[in-house]
Amino acid sequence: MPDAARSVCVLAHSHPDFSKGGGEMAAHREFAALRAAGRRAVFVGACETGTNYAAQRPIETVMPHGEDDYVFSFAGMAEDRLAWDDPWQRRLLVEFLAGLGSDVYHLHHYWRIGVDLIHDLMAARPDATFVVTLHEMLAICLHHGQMVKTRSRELCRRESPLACLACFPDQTLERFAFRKATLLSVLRRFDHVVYPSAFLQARYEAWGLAGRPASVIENFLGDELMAEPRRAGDPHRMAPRFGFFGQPTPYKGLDVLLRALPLALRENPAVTLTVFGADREDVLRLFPMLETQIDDAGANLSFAGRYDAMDAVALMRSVGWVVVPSVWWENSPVVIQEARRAGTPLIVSGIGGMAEKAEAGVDALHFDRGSPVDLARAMLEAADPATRAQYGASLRDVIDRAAFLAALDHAFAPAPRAAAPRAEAAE
Amino acid sequence: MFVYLDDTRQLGLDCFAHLAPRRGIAFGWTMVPRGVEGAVDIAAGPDAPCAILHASFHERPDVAIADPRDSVVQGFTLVFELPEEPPTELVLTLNAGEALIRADMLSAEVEHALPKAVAVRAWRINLALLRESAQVPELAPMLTHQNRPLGAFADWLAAMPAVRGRATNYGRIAEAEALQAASGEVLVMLRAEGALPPAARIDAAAIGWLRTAPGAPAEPRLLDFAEWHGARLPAAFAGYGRIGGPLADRLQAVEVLVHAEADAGEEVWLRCHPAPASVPDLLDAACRATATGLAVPVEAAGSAGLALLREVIARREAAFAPMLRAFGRVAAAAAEDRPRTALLLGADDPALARLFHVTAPIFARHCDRLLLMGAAADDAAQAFGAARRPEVLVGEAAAEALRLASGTSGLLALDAPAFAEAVIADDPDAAFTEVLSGAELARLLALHTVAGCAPSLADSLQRLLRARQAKGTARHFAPLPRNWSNRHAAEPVHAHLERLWSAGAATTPAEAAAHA
Repeated sequence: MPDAARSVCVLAHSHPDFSKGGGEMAAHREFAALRAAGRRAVFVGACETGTNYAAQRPIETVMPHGEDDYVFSFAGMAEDRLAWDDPWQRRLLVEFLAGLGSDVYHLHHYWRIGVDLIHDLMAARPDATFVVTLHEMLAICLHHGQMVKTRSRELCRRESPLACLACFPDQTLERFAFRKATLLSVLRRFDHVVYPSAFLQARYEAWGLAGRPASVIENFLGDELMAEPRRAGDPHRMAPRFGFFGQPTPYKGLDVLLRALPLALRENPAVTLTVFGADREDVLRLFPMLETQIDDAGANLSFAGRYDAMDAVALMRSVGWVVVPSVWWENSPVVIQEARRAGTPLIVSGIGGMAEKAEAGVDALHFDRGSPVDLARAMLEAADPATRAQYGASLRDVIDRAAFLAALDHAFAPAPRAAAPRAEAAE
Repeated sequence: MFVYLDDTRQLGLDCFAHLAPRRGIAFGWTMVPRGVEGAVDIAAGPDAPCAILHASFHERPDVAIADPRDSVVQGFTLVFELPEEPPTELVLTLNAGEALIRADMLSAEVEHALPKAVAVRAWRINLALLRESAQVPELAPMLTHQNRPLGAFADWLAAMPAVRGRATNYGRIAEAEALQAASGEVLVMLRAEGALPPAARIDAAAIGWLRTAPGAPAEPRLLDFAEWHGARLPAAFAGYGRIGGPLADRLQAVEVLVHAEADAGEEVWLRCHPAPASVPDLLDAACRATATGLAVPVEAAGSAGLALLREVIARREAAFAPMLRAFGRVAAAAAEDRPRTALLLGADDPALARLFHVTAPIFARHCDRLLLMGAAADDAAQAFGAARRPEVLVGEAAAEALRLASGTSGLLALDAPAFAEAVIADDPDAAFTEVLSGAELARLLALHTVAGCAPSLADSLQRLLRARQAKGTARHFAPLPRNWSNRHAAEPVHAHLERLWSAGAATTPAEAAAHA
């Protein structure tokens, strides 16, 4: 069967109408891209709203949400959302999914879907192709998949039972083994694993998922953003203008950036920083100790508040540099893709998905993670119009629809069934 | 009732009661002049003597004597025949030389409620009577009187201070601790608040609660210790006992009646319900020779505790090592087909249910029946529900299947963490390679019973497999993760357990072949 004729069910851990995480956005954009290309595709996403409602009143497990677009309640899942406590609801969802008759089931994430459901669905559809996109590292790391140590906030480079025990002393070595065995057992049965970044692929393969068909496919930003104009801007005007985009969480490194700002201002008073995604009060709630730095920055620092994800690319064109100062790895940050799409070069922490997606010397300046001094150094370098002009010219655009679909077609190709361990495991 | 003839001839009748339809029992005492041989008989009328079927005698220090040089007092317990018809007359007669003293046994002044009469007797006499009742057929109905558990002794025993595992402050006993291992061993430690006199002594009796028919309540039985070692330590009474014999297999629970006497007349009676303990727990308690809150240090108490530990170890090895060696010889000779029953131990975490849900087909490839054991076995078993294969047994059913496999068909042995590791290594089949023959399984169960280091059989299985696979230094007994009450206990206990675990173990393939 030609790839283009194969029907696809995109099964995701959330639906972008209810939350705006990178994974669900990517999943739904894939669904839209497939349909726009004339492919047969169905989207089924977990729905937190429906799940919360189900706690109080009866609700259908699966509900239509648009044309070939469905949401499901995961109220029957265990607290960690990795498996189902209620086998009845799991079975309803499996029957619905199997009944779609899709040739390909492309899962985005396993969280809120459940490894037991995946096992049952594979058993119910042994003829279908199963592909998963692993957006983050929850399987590897119990600390929300961040691979950051719970006590010291140091970066963790490799999972090991004893290291995990140091982060979670109330757990047991046996429980770590049971969890890993369960997740690996199911993930190994996929016909193809898609990683949005080589960084994620390396982490999963080091963890135990090596030797399976896999590819790195960048998340597709969607036709609407791909239609946005891409402009380098005037380097003289844009060079000293920096922007931060995102929520002020402890791991996004906004505190590092706010500490770097006065250091940069001391040498270049023309530097400005705009924080998109938070108000001054939001930031002070999380980092009250930064009040002095914020006040001292005066007009050089402004807070633009929350923004709509669809406006991100346009907003990024209003600054000369997008700063991504995260203190954790970042798997495949959409903000970097948006900046590249906008034509705005970046300054990023030189680790993980940031270092990969914003290539040093091409797309971005790198600085030492967590170091305000080094970030200030990078900002001063970036504030030079010549540097801005250089990076504005070399900055890469993101993957387009044609390339994305071609990569998907490769991933969706039917696997030789004899070689797939899934068939035996689900017999 | 008390009949007085003079200062040297008296008769006391504490109780007359029916023991069985045509059996009576009487307690009391006699006083006769020194040098005179007193004799008692019972009659239901002038020409109706009642045959005395059993008589036992004991001291009665509670009966006051005018002049001990003139007379002698003796307590008695009589079991006798009763006429077919309920008697209208029943007389106990003491022939005290030239005089006869008679007591009307049917009098309202005589206690006729047997449990009540037993409860007010001296406890030392009761303990002796309890032991007699287990041995003398005529007294056996005492233990089933009124169809109550422990029969006529029930009220007495109910009044005895109970110690469930561990308790504090009984007279000069600061801490009482009773432990029971699966091997049928019990240890009672009564740690005093200070030093004990050299003449202090301890005595004990074991009551076993035995399984009867399925669903029926357990039945109490006085059990003989296969061995008993009571010791006075500088600041503690210690008692180590082992219950053996054919009834040991039916033992559901055990109680130990403890009688400790520090000085003459200063008695402590305790009805101990030992807490289940692993063998290391039991041995550690043996060397804990002083109470935690000992105000004044007692010289050499630590050494005495270690000496007791060595004594217990020596007795254990004498009792258990020959049996383990015998199991080893049989296990080495066994060669059976690959079994289709698997035993999975260590199912202690509900998280296993997820793993089993996604790996059930792997189990189905290797076994038709799976015995799941562990704290979360029930939960984990549900994961196989939809698959229908293999058949999964938990709880009593699993234990019964394990017993059946022991010595017969054998099984595949795996433990949950090792299975998970095999899955992680992408080689789950490797978890199903350990075959325990019926004889090896029997040896494992025996080792777990007498040298198990943790309540879970999983620990013993891991030790057995480790010993089977390991080479060089890894052959040594894996140390126990615990804080010892006396740090000097660690070495003898480990050495002892290593000796038991290696008793009967084939140390090399050549030796195994030689055994075969």
